[in-house]
Amino acid sequence: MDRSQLLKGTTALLILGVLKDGELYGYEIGQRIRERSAAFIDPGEGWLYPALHRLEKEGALEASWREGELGPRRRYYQITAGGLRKFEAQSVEWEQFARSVRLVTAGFNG
Amino acid sequence: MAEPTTESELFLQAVGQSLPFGDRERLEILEELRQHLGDCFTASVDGGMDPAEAERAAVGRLGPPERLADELTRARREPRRLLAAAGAGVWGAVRGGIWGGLLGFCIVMVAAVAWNPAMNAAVRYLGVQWGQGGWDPASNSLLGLVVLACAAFTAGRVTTPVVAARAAFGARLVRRVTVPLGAAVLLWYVTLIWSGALSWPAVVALLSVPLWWIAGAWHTGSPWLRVPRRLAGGLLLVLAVSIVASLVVGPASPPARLLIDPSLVESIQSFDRIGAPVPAEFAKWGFGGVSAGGYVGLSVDVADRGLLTGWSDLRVEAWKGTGAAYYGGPDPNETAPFLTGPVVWSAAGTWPDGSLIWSSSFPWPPNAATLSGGLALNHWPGVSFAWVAITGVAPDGRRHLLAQPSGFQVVFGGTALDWFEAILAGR
Repeated sequence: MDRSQLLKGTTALLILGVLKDGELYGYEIGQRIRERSAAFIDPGEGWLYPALHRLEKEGALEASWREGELGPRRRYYQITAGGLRKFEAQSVEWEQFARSVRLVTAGFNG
Repeated sequence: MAEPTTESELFLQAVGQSLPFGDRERLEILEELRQHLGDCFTASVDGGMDPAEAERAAVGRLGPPERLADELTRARREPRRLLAAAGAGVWGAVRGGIWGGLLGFCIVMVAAVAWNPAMNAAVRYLGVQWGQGGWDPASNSLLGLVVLACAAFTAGRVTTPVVAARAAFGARLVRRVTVPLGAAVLLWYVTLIWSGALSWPAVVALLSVPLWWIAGAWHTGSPWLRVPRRLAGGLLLVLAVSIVASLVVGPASPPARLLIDPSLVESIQSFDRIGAPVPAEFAKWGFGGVSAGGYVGLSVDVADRGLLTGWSDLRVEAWKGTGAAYYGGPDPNETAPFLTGPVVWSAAGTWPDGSLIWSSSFPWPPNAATLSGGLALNHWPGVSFAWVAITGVAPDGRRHLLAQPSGFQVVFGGTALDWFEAILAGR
Protein backbone atom coordinates (compact mmCIF):
# COMPACT_ATOMS: atom_id res chain seq x y z
CA MET A 1 0.00 0.00 0.00
CA ASP A 2 1.20 3.53 -0.78
CA ARG A 3 2.02 4.96 2.64
CA SER A 4 1.88 8.52 1.38
CA GLN A 5 -1.85 8.03 0.75
CA LEU A 6 -2.34 6.91 4.35
CA LEU A 7 -0.25 9.81 5.54
CA LYS A 8 -2.44 12.39 3.80
CA GLY A 9 -5.35 11.86 6.14
CA THR A 10 -3.28 11.71 9.28
CA THR A 11 -0.78 14.53 8.81
CA ALA A 12 -2.37 16.90 11.27
CA LEU A 13 -2.86 14.15 13.82
CA LEU A 14 0.81 13.11 13.64
CA ILE A 15 2.11 16.66 13.94
CA LEU A 16 -0.23 17.60 16.77
CA GLY A 17 0.61 14.30 18.45
CA VAL A 18 4.30 15.07 18.73
CA LEU A 19 3.80 18.74 19.54
CA LYS A 20 1.44 18.14 22.46
CA ASP A 21 4.54 17.07 24.42
CA GLY A 22 6.39 20.33 23.80
CA GLU A 23 7.51 22.79 21.16
CA LEU A 24 9.76 21.62 18.33
CA TYR A 25 11.09 23.00 15.06
CA GLY A 26 10.34 21.46 11.65
CA TYR A 27 13.24 19.06 11.34
CA GLU A 28 12.68 17.81 14.89
CA ILE A 29 9.00 17.22 14.21
CA GLY A 30 9.84 15.03 11.22
CA GLN A 31 12.46 13.14 13.23
CA ARG A 32 10.14 12.63 16.19
CA ILE A 33 7.42 11.18 13.95
CA ARG A 34 9.99 8.90 12.35
CA GLU A 35 11.33 7.74 15.72
CA ARG A 36 7.91 7.15 17.27
CA SER A 37 6.74 5.18 14.24
CA ALA A 38 9.96 3.13 14.29
CA ALA A 39 10.79 4.59 10.88
CA PHE A 40 7.54 3.25 9.44
CA ILE A 41 6.37 6.78 8.65
CA ASP A 42 9.24 8.34 6.75
CA PRO A 43 8.01 9.62 3.42
CA GLY A 44 10.28 12.67 3.22
CA GLU A 45 9.51 16.18 4.42
CA GLY A 46 7.84 17.67 1.38
CA TRP A 47 4.49 17.24 3.13
CA LEU A 48 5.65 18.51 6.54
CA TYR A 49 6.10 22.24 6.02
CA PRO A 50 2.89 22.84 4.08
CA ALA A 51 1.05 20.95 6.84
CA LEU A 52 2.74 23.02 9.57
CA HIS A 53 1.88 26.24 7.82
CA ARG A 54 -1.74 25.11 7.29
CA LEU A 55 -2.12 24.21 10.97
CA GLU A 56 -0.61 27.54 11.92
CA LYS A 57 -3.09 29.34 9.65
CA GLU A 58 -5.95 27.37 11.24
CA GLY A 59 -4.79 28.43 14.69
CA ALA A 60 -3.86 24.94 15.85
CA LEU A 61 -0.20 25.94 16.10
CA GLU A 62 1.76 29.03 16.93
CA ALA A 63 5.19 29.59 15.44
CA SER A 64 8.02 31.82 16.57
CA TRP A 65 11.59 32.36 15.51
CA ARG A 66 14.15 31.81 18.25
CA GLU A 67 17.85 31.18 18.56
CA GLY A 68 18.59 27.49 19.09
CA GLU A 69 20.67 26.35 22.09
CA LEU A 70 23.60 25.46 19.87
CA GLY A 71 22.55 26.25 16.36
CA PRO A 72 21.10 29.15 14.38
CA ARG A 73 17.64 30.75 14.50
CA ARG A 74 14.86 28.25 14.10
CA ARG A 75 11.14 28.40 13.71
CA TYR A 76 9.60 26.66 16.71
CA TYR A 77 6.04 25.37 16.65
CA GLN A 78 3.85 25.16 19.72
CA ILE A 79 0.42 23.60 19.99
CA THR A 80 -2.44 25.93 20.99
CA ALA A 81 -5.55 25.18 23.01
CA GLY A 82 -7.44 24.90 19.78
CA GLY A 83 -4.76 22.55 18.48
CA LEU A 84 -5.17 20.33 21.52
CA ARG A 85 -8.94 20.13 20.98
CA LYS A 86 -8.33 19.30 17.34
CA PHE A 87 -5.88 16.59 18.36
CA GLU A 88 -8.37 15.05 20.80
CA ALA A 89 -11.13 15.06 18.20
CA GLN A 90 -8.93 13.59 15.47
CA SER A 91 -7.52 10.95 17.83
CA VAL A 92 -11.02 9.71 18.68
CA GLU A 93 -11.95 9.69 15.02
CA TRP A 94 -8.78 7.87 14.04
CA GLU A 95 -9.27 5.23 16.75
CA GLN A 96 -12.79 4.61 15.52
CA PHE A 97 -11.58 4.39 11.97
CA ALA A 98 -8.68 2.07 12.81
CA ARG A 99 -10.99 -0.14 14.90
CA SER A 100 -13.45 -0.32 12.05
CA VAL A 101 -10.73 -1.19 9.58
CA ARG A 102 -9.45 -3.89 11.95
CA LEU A 103 -12.95 -5.30 12.35
CA VAL A 104 -13.45 -5.44 8.61
CA THR A 105 -10.04 -6.90 7.84
CA ALA A 106 -10.22 -9.37 10.76
CA GLY A 107 -13.45 -10.77 9.35
CA PHE A 108 -11.84 -11.06 5.96
CA ASN A 109 -8.63 -12.67 7.26
CA GLY A 110 -10.33 -14.86 9.83
CA MET B 1 27.38 22.55 11.51
CA ALA B 2 28.28 21.72 7.92
CA GLU B 3 26.78 24.15 5.42
CA PRO B 4 24.88 22.94 2.38
CA THR B 5 26.22 24.34 -0.85
CA THR B 6 25.16 24.61 -4.42
CA GLU B 7 22.41 22.03 -4.79
CA SER B 8 20.52 23.25 -1.74
CA GLU B 9 20.79 26.86 -2.80
CA LEU B 10 19.59 26.02 -6.28
CA PHE B 11 16.66 24.17 -4.75
CA LEU B 12 15.84 27.10 -2.47
CA GLN B 13 16.16 29.49 -5.37
CA ALA B 14 13.68 27.42 -7.37
CA VAL B 15 11.26 27.33 -4.42
CA GLY B 16 11.64 31.07 -3.91
CA GLN B 17 10.89 31.82 -7.54
CA SER B 18 7.63 29.92 -7.30
CA LEU B 19 6.48 31.51 -4.04
CA PRO B 20 4.21 34.47 -4.76
CA PHE B 21 4.68 36.13 -1.37
CA GLY B 22 6.29 39.40 -0.45
CA ASP B 23 10.01 39.49 0.28
CA ARG B 24 9.72 39.18 4.05
CA GLU B 25 7.31 36.24 4.00
CA ARG B 26 9.22 34.47 1.24
CA LEU B 27 12.58 34.86 2.98
CA GLU B 28 11.15 33.47 6.22
CA ILE B 29 9.88 30.38 4.43
CA LEU B 30 13.20 29.90 2.64
CA GLU B 31 15.12 30.40 5.86
CA GLU B 32 13.10 27.65 7.52
CA LEU B 33 13.74 25.31 4.60
CA ARG B 34 17.44 26.24 4.61
CA GLN B 35 17.72 25.28 8.27
CA HIS B 36 15.92 22.05 7.54
CA LEU B 37 18.30 21.17 4.71
CA GLY B 38 21.24 22.00 6.94
CA ASP B 39 19.92 19.68 9.69
CA CYS B 40 19.31 16.85 7.23
CA PHE B 41 22.72 17.32 5.68
CA THR B 42 24.51 17.37 9.04
CA ALA B 43 22.69 14.29 10.27
CA SER B 44 23.55 12.35 7.10
CA VAL B 45 27.21 13.41 7.10
CA ASP B 46 27.46 12.57 10.81
CA GLY B 47 26.01 9.18 9.91
CA GLY B 48 28.90 8.62 7.51
CA MET B 49 27.34 9.68 4.23
CA ASP B 50 29.38 11.39 1.54
CA PRO B 51 28.67 15.19 1.69
CA ALA B 52 27.58 15.45 -1.93
CA GLU B 53 25.26 12.47 -1.51
CA ALA B 54 24.01 13.85 1.80
CA GLU B 55 23.06 17.13 0.19
CA ARG B 56 21.35 15.38 -2.68
CA ALA B 57 19.39 13.25 -0.24
CA ALA B 58 18.35 16.25 1.87
CA VAL B 59 17.06 18.08 -1.19
CA GLY B 60 15.41 14.92 -2.55
CA ARG B 61 13.40 14.40 0.65
CA LEU B 62 11.64 17.73 0.14
CA GLY B 63 10.45 16.72 -3.33
CA PRO B 64 10.26 18.90 -6.46
CA PRO B 65 10.71 22.58 -5.56
CA GLU B 66 7.74 23.76 -7.62
CA ARG B 67 5.41 21.28 -5.92
CA LEU B 68 6.69 22.27 -2.47
CA ALA B 69 6.22 25.96 -3.31
CA ASP B 70 2.75 25.25 -4.62
CA GLU B 71 1.72 23.35 -1.49
CA LEU B 72 3.20 26.01 0.78
CA THR B 73 1.30 28.64 -1.16
CA ARG B 74 -1.98 26.75 -0.81
CA ALA B 75 -1.33 26.15 2.87
CA ARG B 76 -1.01 29.86 3.53
CA ARG B 77 -4.06 30.83 1.51
CA GLU B 78 -7.06 32.19 3.41
CA PRO B 79 -10.09 34.38 2.62
CA ARG B 80 -8.92 37.43 4.54
CA ARG B 81 -5.81 37.49 2.37
CA LEU B 82 -8.02 38.03 -0.69
CA LEU B 83 -9.47 41.17 0.86
CA ALA B 84 -5.99 42.37 1.77
CA ALA B 85 -4.88 41.52 -1.78
CA ALA B 86 -7.60 43.70 -3.28
CA GLY B 87 -6.52 46.64 -1.15
CA ALA B 88 -2.84 45.98 -1.80
CA GLY B 89 -3.57 45.72 -5.52
CA VAL B 90 -5.24 49.12 -5.62
CA TRP B 91 -2.47 50.68 -3.56
CA GLY B 92 0.16 48.95 -5.70
CA ALA B 93 -1.47 50.29 -8.86
CA VAL B 94 -1.54 53.82 -7.43
CA ARG B 95 2.06 53.59 -6.21
CA GLY B 96 3.28 52.09 -9.49
CA GLY B 97 1.25 54.64 -11.44
CA ILE B 98 2.77 57.57 -9.58
CA TRP B 99 6.26 56.18 -10.01
CA GLY B 100 5.72 55.50 -13.72
CA GLY B 101 4.09 58.88 -14.19
CA LEU B 102 7.16 60.59 -12.74
CA LEU B 103 9.39 58.48 -14.97
CA GLY B 104 7.27 59.35 -18.01
CA PHE B 105 7.33 63.02 -17.06
CA CYS B 106 11.15 62.91 -16.95
CA ILE B 107 11.24 61.24 -20.37
CA VAL B 108 8.92 63.88 -21.84
CA MET B 109 10.89 66.72 -20.27
CA VAL B 110 14.18 65.42 -21.62
CA ALA B 111 12.57 64.91 -25.03
CA ALA B 112 11.27 68.48 -24.91
CA VAL B 113 14.76 69.77 -24.07
CA ALA B 114 16.27 67.68 -26.88
CA TRP B 115 13.60 68.76 -29.37
CA ASN B 116 14.67 72.38 -29.71
CA PRO B 117 18.34 71.89 -30.67
CA ALA B 118 17.34 69.01 -32.95
CA MET B 119 14.86 71.20 -34.80
CA ASN B 120 17.32 74.10 -34.93
CA ALA B 121 19.93 71.76 -36.40
CA ALA B 122 17.39 70.50 -38.95
CA VAL B 123 16.57 74.07 -39.98
CA ARG B 124 20.19 75.19 -40.10
CA TYR B 125 21.87 72.24 -41.77
CA LEU B 126 19.07 70.51 -43.68
CA GLY B 127 16.93 73.50 -44.55
CA VAL B 128 13.88 71.73 -43.16
CA GLN B 129 11.14 73.90 -41.78
CA TRP B 130 9.05 72.61 -38.90
CA GLY B 131 5.79 73.65 -37.39
CA GLN B 132 4.79 76.46 -39.73
CA GLY B 133 1.31 76.43 -38.29
CA GLY B 134 2.43 76.66 -34.70
CA TRP B 135 2.27 74.09 -31.95
CA ASP B 136 -0.65 71.73 -32.37
CA PRO B 137 -2.62 71.57 -29.08
CA ALA B 138 -3.12 67.82 -29.68
CA SER B 139 0.65 67.45 -29.25
CA ASN B 140 0.22 68.49 -25.63
CA SER B 141 -2.28 65.65 -25.29
CA LEU B 142 0.21 63.29 -26.88
CA LEU B 143 2.89 64.23 -24.35
CA GLY B 144 0.43 63.79 -21.49
CA LEU B 145 -0.58 60.41 -22.86
CA VAL B 146 3.05 59.27 -23.00
CA VAL B 147 3.17 59.96 -19.26
CA LEU B 148 -0.13 58.10 -18.79
CA ALA B 149 1.18 55.10 -20.76
CA CYS B 150 4.31 54.93 -18.56
CA ALA B 151 2.09 55.13 -15.49
CA ALA B 152 -0.16 52.31 -16.77
CA PHE B 153 2.83 50.09 -17.51
CA THR B 154 4.45 50.43 -14.11
CA ALA B 155 1.09 50.27 -12.31
CA GLY B 156 0.42 46.92 -14.00
CA ARG B 157 3.92 45.71 -13.31
CA VAL B 158 3.55 46.40 -9.60
CA THR B 159 -0.04 45.21 -9.23
CA THR B 160 0.24 41.55 -10.31
CA PRO B 161 3.09 40.52 -7.99
CA VAL B 162 1.70 42.56 -5.10
CA VAL B 163 -1.74 40.93 -5.39
CA ALA B 164 -0.15 37.50 -5.78
CA ALA B 165 1.95 38.02 -2.65
CA ARG B 166 -1.01 39.15 -0.56
CA ALA B 167 -3.49 36.61 -1.89
CA ALA B 168 -1.05 33.68 -1.76
CA PHE B 169 -1.86 32.76 -5.34
CA GLY B 170 0.65 32.22 -8.11
CA ALA B 171 1.37 35.36 -10.13
CA ARG B 172 0.51 33.49 -13.34
CA LEU B 173 -2.93 32.79 -11.92
CA VAL B 174 -3.35 36.29 -10.52
CA ARG B 175 -2.58 37.94 -13.84
CA ARG B 176 -5.64 36.21 -15.30
CA VAL B 177 -7.57 38.64 -13.11
CA THR B 178 -5.32 41.71 -12.98
CA VAL B 179 -4.67 41.87 -16.72
CA PRO B 180 -8.30 41.92 -17.95
CA LEU B 181 -9.63 43.84 -14.95
CA GLY B 182 -7.09 46.66 -15.22
CA ALA B 183 -7.36 46.70 -19.01
CA ALA B 184 -11.16 46.95 -18.79
CA VAL B 185 -10.99 49.84 -16.31
CA LEU B 186 -8.44 51.67 -18.43
CA LEU B 187 -10.36 50.98 -21.65
CA TRP B 188 -13.45 52.49 -20.04
CA TYR B 189 -11.37 55.48 -18.93
CA VAL B 190 -9.62 56.12 -22.25
CA THR B 191 -12.71 55.71 -24.40
CA LEU B 192 -15.39 57.38 -22.32
CA ILE B 193 -13.82 59.52 -19.61
CA TRP B 194 -10.56 61.02 -20.87
CA SER B 195 -11.33 64.11 -22.85
CA GLY B 196 -9.02 66.59 -24.52
CA ALA B 197 -7.44 67.75 -27.75
CA LEU B 198 -7.04 64.79 -30.09
CA SER B 199 -5.27 63.94 -33.31
CA TRP B 200 -4.64 60.52 -34.81
CA PRO B 201 -1.29 60.10 -32.98
CA ALA B 202 -2.95 61.16 -29.72
CA VAL B 203 -5.87 58.75 -30.30
CA VAL B 204 -3.43 55.90 -30.93
CA ALA B 205 -1.48 56.83 -27.79
CA LEU B 206 -4.72 57.07 -25.81
CA LEU B 207 -6.01 53.67 -26.92
CA SER B 208 -2.60 52.10 -26.29
CA VAL B 209 -2.81 52.88 -22.57
CA PRO B 210 -4.68 49.61 -21.72
CA LEU B 211 -2.07 47.71 -23.77
CA TRP B 212 0.69 49.22 -21.66
CA TRP B 213 -1.16 48.02 -18.58
CA ILE B 214 -1.39 44.51 -20.08
CA ALA B 215 2.34 44.52 -20.85
CA GLY B 216 3.09 45.54 -17.27
CA ALA B 217 0.58 43.30 -15.49
CA TRP B 218 1.61 40.27 -17.56
CA HIS B 219 4.98 40.40 -15.85
CA THR B 220 5.15 37.98 -12.93
CA GLY B 221 8.61 38.67 -11.52
CA SER B 222 9.81 41.44 -9.29
CA PRO B 223 7.58 44.50 -9.61
CA TRP B 224 10.45 46.92 -9.78
CA LEU B 225 12.02 47.74 -13.09
CA ARG B 226 15.64 46.87 -13.57
CA VAL B 227 16.05 49.44 -16.29
CA PRO B 228 15.84 52.71 -14.38
CA ARG B 229 19.60 52.96 -13.92
CA ARG B 230 20.14 52.42 -17.64
CA LEU B 231 17.17 54.59 -18.50
CA ALA B 232 18.33 57.35 -16.18
CA GLY B 233 21.77 57.11 -17.76
CA GLY B 234 20.24 57.33 -21.23
CA LEU B 235 18.12 60.33 -20.28
CA LEU B 236 21.09 62.13 -18.77
CA LEU B 237 23.10 61.40 -21.93
CA VAL B 238 20.35 62.80 -24.16
CA LEU B 239 20.12 65.83 -21.88
CA ALA B 240 23.87 66.43 -22.02
CA VAL B 241 24.01 65.99 -25.79
CA SER B 242 21.04 68.36 -26.20
CA ILE B 243 22.68 71.06 -24.12
CA VAL B 244 25.97 70.73 -26.02
CA ALA B 245 24.07 70.67 -29.32
CA SER B 246 22.13 73.81 -28.44
CA LEU B 247 25.43 75.58 -27.71
CA VAL B 248 27.04 74.36 -30.93
CA VAL B 249 24.07 74.82 -33.24
CA GLY B 250 22.66 77.99 -31.70
CA PRO B 251 19.27 79.42 -32.62
CA ALA B 252 18.01 78.79 -36.12
CA SER B 253 17.73 81.90 -38.27
CA PRO B 254 14.41 82.06 -40.07
CA PRO B 255 14.76 80.69 -43.61
CA ALA B 256 14.16 83.08 -46.42
CA ARG B 257 11.22 81.12 -47.77
CA LEU B 258 9.17 81.91 -44.70
CA LEU B 259 8.97 85.51 -45.83
CA ILE B 260 5.89 85.44 -48.02
CA ASP B 261 4.92 88.20 -50.38
CA PRO B 262 1.53 89.56 -49.15
CA SER B 263 0.18 89.75 -52.71
CA LEU B 264 1.05 86.10 -53.13
CA VAL B 265 -0.84 85.32 -49.94
CA GLU B 266 -3.93 87.05 -51.28
CA SER B 267 -3.82 85.08 -54.50
CA ILE B 268 -3.37 81.81 -52.59
CA GLN B 269 -6.25 82.53 -50.27
CA SER B 270 -8.89 82.94 -53.00
CA PHE B 271 -11.74 83.68 -50.65
CA ASP B 272 -13.98 84.21 -53.65
CA ARG B 273 -14.58 80.47 -53.43
CA ILE B 274 -16.49 81.19 -50.23
CA GLY B 275 -18.39 84.11 -51.63
CA ALA B 276 -18.20 87.21 -53.75
CA PRO B 277 -16.16 90.06 -52.22
CA VAL B 278 -17.51 92.07 -49.34
CA PRO B 279 -19.78 94.84 -50.61
CA ALA B 280 -18.13 98.22 -50.30
CA GLU B 281 -20.76 99.53 -47.92
CA PHE B 282 -19.91 96.74 -45.44
CA ALA B 283 -16.16 96.87 -45.83
CA LYS B 284 -15.79 100.14 -43.99
CA TRP B 285 -17.38 98.72 -40.85
CA GLY B 286 -15.76 96.50 -38.34
CA PHE B 287 -15.81 92.79 -37.93
CA GLY B 288 -14.50 90.63 -35.16
CA GLY B 289 -13.92 87.11 -34.05
CA VAL B 290 -13.36 85.21 -30.85
CA SER B 291 -12.22 81.66 -30.27
CA ALA B 292 -12.40 79.74 -27.01
CA GLY B 293 -12.61 76.06 -26.18
CA GLY B 294 -13.23 75.07 -29.78
CA TYR B 295 -16.04 77.61 -30.20
CA VAL B 296 -15.58 80.37 -32.75
CA GLY B 297 -17.73 83.49 -32.79
CA LEU B 298 -17.74 85.94 -35.67
CA SER B 299 -19.44 89.30 -36.00
CA VAL B 300 -19.90 92.02 -38.57
CA ASP B 301 -21.11 95.50 -37.82
CA VAL B 302 -23.60 96.93 -40.30
CA ALA B 303 -24.14 100.68 -40.52
CA ASP B 304 -27.76 100.24 -41.45
CA ARG B 305 -29.80 97.06 -41.18
CA GLY B 306 -31.70 98.30 -44.19
CA LEU B 307 -28.64 97.57 -46.32
CA LEU B 308 -29.49 93.91 -46.03
CA THR B 309 -33.08 94.26 -47.16
CA GLY B 310 -33.66 91.59 -49.79
CA TRP B 311 -30.75 89.48 -48.64
CA SER B 312 -31.42 85.89 -47.70
CA ASP B 313 -29.74 82.89 -46.08
CA LEU B 314 -27.47 84.92 -43.83
CA ARG B 315 -25.18 82.50 -42.06
CA VAL B 316 -21.82 81.87 -40.51
CA GLU B 317 -19.86 79.18 -42.29
CA ALA B 318 -16.58 77.34 -41.84
CA TRP B 319 -14.39 76.06 -44.65
CA LYS B 320 -11.61 73.57 -44.34
CA GLY B 321 -8.27 75.34 -44.79
CA THR B 322 -5.11 74.14 -46.44
CA GLY B 323 -2.88 72.73 -43.73
CA ALA B 324 -2.37 74.80 -40.65
CA ALA B 325 -1.11 77.94 -42.29
CA TYR B 326 -2.57 81.37 -41.76
CA TYR B 327 -1.51 82.46 -45.22
CA GLY B 328 -3.27 79.52 -46.86
CA GLY B 329 -6.80 79.68 -48.11
CA PRO B 330 -9.79 77.40 -48.28
CA ASP B 331 -8.84 73.90 -49.37
CA PRO B 332 -9.12 73.83 -53.20
CA ASN B 333 -10.74 70.41 -52.99
CA GLU B 334 -13.64 71.69 -50.91
CA THR B 335 -16.77 72.83 -52.69
CA ALA B 336 -18.88 73.69 -49.65
CA PRO B 337 -18.43 74.71 -46.05
CA PHE B 338 -18.11 71.80 -43.65
CA LEU B 339 -20.24 73.59 -41.09
CA THR B 340 -22.78 76.37 -41.14
CA GLY B 341 -24.73 78.10 -38.44
CA PRO B 342 -27.33 80.84 -38.03
CA VAL B 343 -26.54 84.47 -37.42
CA VAL B 344 -28.51 86.84 -35.25
CA TRP B 345 -28.86 90.59 -34.97
CA SER B 346 -27.92 92.44 -31.85
CA ALA B 347 -27.29 96.02 -30.81
CA ALA B 348 -24.34 97.54 -32.61
CA GLY B 349 -21.01 96.57 -31.11
CA THR B 350 -22.37 93.86 -28.89
CA TRP B 351 -22.76 90.11 -28.89
CA PRO B 352 -26.30 88.72 -28.56
CA ASP B 353 -25.78 88.36 -24.80
CA GLY B 354 -25.10 92.09 -24.55
CA SER B 355 -21.33 91.90 -23.99
CA LEU B 356 -19.22 94.35 -25.95
CA ILE B 357 -17.41 93.39 -29.11
CA TRP B 358 -15.64 96.68 -29.64
CA SER B 359 -15.40 99.82 -27.68
CA SER B 360 -18.84 101.31 -27.13
CA SER B 361 -17.48 104.75 -27.82
CA PHE B 362 -18.26 104.36 -31.50
CA PRO B 363 -20.78 106.94 -32.65
CA TRP B 364 -23.06 104.23 -34.04
CA PRO B 365 -25.63 105.47 -36.57
CA PRO B 366 -29.26 105.08 -35.47
CA ASN B 367 -29.92 101.95 -37.54
CA ALA B 368 -26.52 100.30 -36.94
CA ALA B 369 -26.56 96.71 -35.74
CA THR B 370 -24.26 93.76 -35.39
CA LEU B 371 -24.73 90.44 -37.08
CA SER B 372 -23.04 87.54 -35.34
CA GLY B 373 -22.93 83.78 -35.22
CA GLY B 374 -20.88 81.02 -33.72
CA LEU B 375 -19.72 77.54 -34.59
CA ALA B 376 -18.20 74.74 -32.53
CA LEU B 377 -15.25 73.67 -34.66
CA ASN B 378 -13.72 71.12 -32.32
CA HIS B 379 -15.62 68.07 -33.58
CA TRP B 380 -13.95 67.68 -36.97
CA PRO B 381 -11.02 65.24 -36.90
CA GLY B 382 -10.22 65.96 -40.56
CA VAL B 383 -9.85 69.71 -40.12
CA SER B 384 -6.75 71.34 -38.69
CA PHE B 385 -7.35 74.84 -39.94
CA ALA B 386 -10.60 76.58 -40.82
CA TRP B 387 -11.67 79.79 -42.47
CA VAL B 388 -14.83 81.17 -40.97
CA ALA B 389 -16.97 83.82 -42.60
CA ILE B 390 -20.38 85.44 -42.37
CA THR B 391 -22.10 85.33 -45.74
CA GLY B 392 -25.46 85.96 -47.27
CA VAL B 393 -27.21 85.73 -50.60
CA ALA B 394 -27.66 89.17 -52.13
CA PRO B 395 -30.74 90.15 -54.19
CA ASP B 396 -28.68 89.39 -57.31
CA GLY B 397 -28.66 85.73 -56.25
CA ARG B 398 -24.93 85.59 -55.51
CA ARG B 399 -23.52 84.65 -52.12
CA HIS B 400 -21.34 87.43 -50.75
CA LEU B 401 -18.89 87.67 -47.92
CA LEU B 402 -20.10 90.20 -45.37
CA ALA B 403 -16.64 90.46 -43.83
CA GLN B 404 -13.18 89.15 -44.56
CA PRO B 405 -12.92 85.47 -43.45
CA SER B 406 -10.95 84.74 -40.30
CA GLY B 407 -8.56 81.82 -39.97
CA PHE B 408 -8.60 79.57 -36.91
CA GLN B 409 -6.44 76.66 -35.93
CA VAL B 410 -8.80 73.79 -35.24
CA VAL B 411 -8.20 70.84 -32.99
CA PHE B 412 -10.60 68.05 -32.17
CA GLY B 413 -11.70 68.07 -28.56
CA GLY B 414 -13.52 65.26 -26.82
CA THR B 415 -13.28 61.62 -25.88
CA ALA B 416 -11.97 58.79 -28.05
CA LEU B 417 -15.58 57.71 -28.53
CA ASP B 418 -16.46 61.21 -29.79
CA TRP B 419 -13.50 60.94 -32.16
CA PHE B 420 -14.64 57.68 -33.71
CA GLU B 421 -18.24 58.85 -33.88
CA ALA B 422 -17.00 61.86 -35.83
CA ILE B 423 -14.89 59.65 -38.10
CA LEU B 424 -17.87 57.36 -38.77
CA ALA B 425 -20.01 60.41 -39.47
CA GLY B 426 -17.51 61.40 -42.15
CA ARG B 427 -16.27 64.48 -40.34
